Amino acid sequence: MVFSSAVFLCLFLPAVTALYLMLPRGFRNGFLFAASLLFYAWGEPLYLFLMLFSIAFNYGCGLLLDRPSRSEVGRRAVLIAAVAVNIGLLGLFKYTDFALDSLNRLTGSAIPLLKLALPVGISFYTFQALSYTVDVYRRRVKAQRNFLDFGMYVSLFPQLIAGPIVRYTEIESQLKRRSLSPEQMAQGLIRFTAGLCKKVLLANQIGVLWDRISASAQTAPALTAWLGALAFTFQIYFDFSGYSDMAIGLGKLFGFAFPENFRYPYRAVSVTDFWRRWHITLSAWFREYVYIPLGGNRRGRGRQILNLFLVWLLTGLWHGAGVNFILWGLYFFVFLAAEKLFLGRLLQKLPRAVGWFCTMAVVVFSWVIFACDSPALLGSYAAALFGANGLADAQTLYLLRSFGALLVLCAAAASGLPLRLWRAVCARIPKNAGEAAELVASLGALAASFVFLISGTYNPFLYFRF
Amino acid sequence: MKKLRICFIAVYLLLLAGIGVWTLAGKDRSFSENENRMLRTKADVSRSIADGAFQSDLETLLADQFPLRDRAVALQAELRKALGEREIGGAYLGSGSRLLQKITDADVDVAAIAKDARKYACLCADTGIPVTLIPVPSAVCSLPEALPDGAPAYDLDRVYAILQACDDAGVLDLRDALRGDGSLYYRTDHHWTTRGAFAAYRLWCEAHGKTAPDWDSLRPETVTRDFRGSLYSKAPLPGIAPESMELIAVPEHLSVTADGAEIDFYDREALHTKDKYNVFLSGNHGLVVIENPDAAGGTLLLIKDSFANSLVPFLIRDYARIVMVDERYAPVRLRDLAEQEQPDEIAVIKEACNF
Repeated sequence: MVFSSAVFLCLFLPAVTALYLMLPRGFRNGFLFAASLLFYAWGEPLYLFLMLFSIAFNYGCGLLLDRPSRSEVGRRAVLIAAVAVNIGLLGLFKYTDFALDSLNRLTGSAIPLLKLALPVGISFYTFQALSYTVDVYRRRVKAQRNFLDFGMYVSLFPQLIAGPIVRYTEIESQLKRRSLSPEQMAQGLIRFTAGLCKKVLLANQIGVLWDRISASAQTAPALTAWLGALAFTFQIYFDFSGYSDMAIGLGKLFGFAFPENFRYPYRAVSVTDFWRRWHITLSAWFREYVYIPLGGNRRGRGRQILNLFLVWLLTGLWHGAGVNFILWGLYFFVFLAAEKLFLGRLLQKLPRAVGWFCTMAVVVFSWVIFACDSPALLGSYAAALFGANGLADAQTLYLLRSFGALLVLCAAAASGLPLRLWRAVCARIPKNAGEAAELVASLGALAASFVFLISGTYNPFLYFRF
Repeated sequence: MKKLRICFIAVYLLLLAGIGVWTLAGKDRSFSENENRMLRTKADVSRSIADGAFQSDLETLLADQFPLRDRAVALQAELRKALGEREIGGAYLGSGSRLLQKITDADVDVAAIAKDARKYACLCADTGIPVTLIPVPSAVCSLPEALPDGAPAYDLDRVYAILQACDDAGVLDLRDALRGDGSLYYRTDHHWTTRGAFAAYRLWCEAHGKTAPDWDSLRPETVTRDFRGSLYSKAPLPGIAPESMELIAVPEHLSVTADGAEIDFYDREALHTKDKYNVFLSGNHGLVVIENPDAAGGTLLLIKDSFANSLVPFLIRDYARIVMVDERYAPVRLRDLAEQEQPDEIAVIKEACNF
């Protein structure tokens, strides 16, 4: 199931919320677990069992690792098995065909691909489950003995499909004790609506510009190509951060406080700063479970750079099974390493605007690498970006006129200025008036999003179709 | 304040649930005039869950049967237009409240056009019957001033060049006759108007050494002023005014057979539906045979798409028998058909981009 769908908005969400409120406290976790399973099974009827296996397996490992034991070897064995199975399953479903395909290309063999469909959310729930198992091993947290509570943690539908990645230690206390107040629920719905608007009103609409430009990338002049890259830059941000907003808002609706995942990333003044603002929970996960265990920056410069390299190789790979994703991760590694070594200090001496501009240029180009899944497409798009087909043509102006206003809206929303202005206004007017305005505006925004959602399914035919 | 928040939460959820209930509880619409397709109804929803068919059917059902669906689409079109977009659903929002179908070079398969051109040329060479190719320029090519600035269209001259390169078949060049005159194309439909077809007919008469009749002598009749055609379906903006449709008088004793069944030349019932262009011969069929006992004589074989439908009322005055074949719907071998019908002439009338 997907948040921006009629089934979720009109059927699932009202029903689940109403039932949740009516149930006594003790039954709520079990209910959320069941509802999350239904949510997942709706889109993936067969892969539900894979997720259930993952839940059961990690639950069992947690119990094993929690026992007081003098056998360090035994505990280590369980940990290794847990990591192997979790990563193994992820690898099997997500990366096997990529590995086989690469092998075929390199050696000329013709091993048939498995063509397994990727189970939705596997990258997310595997990382969540692993965070639990590793932290139980490290004795940072006690094992969760209640299977329903644990199942709810792994499969909780707000963040199951696209994050934020919630580490078990961050949420353990909320499993059993959550407060629920009208204020929290209202704030949750407001946040959810903001995310829905970002996805339906901004991401989907600016995506049209990207689709149009990328379709004719081979002949696009430079300005058009950059316009397209900018469009994708906005699309992916509003899509992803919108989804995180919806997840955090839904979490609040049920009493959870999830960690923030985005902090106006396009305000960053360096690439390091960017990655402290973009997909924060993923960076945090990699830092906690890969970078620091490898030694972080405490084993000398050379080792630090190597650790960075490994982390960014894995980060790129996590995003997708493709060479372009690895390239994308390593692209950032180069800049991050450079900033750690010398570039960071240089940037600090320059005006912030310069740092911002350079960062944005690096980021926008990185999205081109991310979006082009074939080297040929990347090559022709990069050539177009740097003027292979001229600077601009009549169509550039046409596209700019058609999407200019939307681009300005996107830039304003990405800058965070509207929210800051609104907060400033709220500080000057009676508190209740400000909140009341937000509530009314949310209802209006919900209606607008629904209009666009329905319109997205409009599909006229020139000649009659059965 | 707490009461307001509770009220908000309740209204929010009830609004969403209410839409769901309203959509599912109401009577289903089975056909959408605007979209020209069948809508998913409760009866169509699949029962198989394992492959996800039920889930996607339910989603489609909710979207298709949403009571305010058409109004929502119109509202979204207005909002996008307000933001500056000049292209909605594949239709350009041109000047003068005119919609033009977006067709770019990427939509034109020059290889297929070249192949078909050779096919028609061979037809001429093999059968000895004169073949005339009549590529109809699309509105985007004929009315460039109405297009939004910089909006891409397709290269009409390239299509003509490919067709003119065929030695055996003649080409009727409609480019100049149809350029720049807005009355020759519908504002809300991708077809040419009856006047546009008349402009082509005048050239046809010239090519045959005849004098074309006067427009008024053909007794044109405005049959409707409420026409909003295919392009309005793509961009249903409330501000696009309806337009009128004219039909000329056809000879009285015509007999028309479409795929074996007898039909009327003008399907007046279609004027009461949204897709009024279907008034011409009830739309597209595979094989249509029209016989005019009052005409001088001669058989014309017409290979066509829907653009020919509005040209046929003019042509039928000159031929005793017109055989129309739409290759998309009738898998016939043209050579066999030509042998069978023994026409005096063969013409190919299609929109230039789809030739």
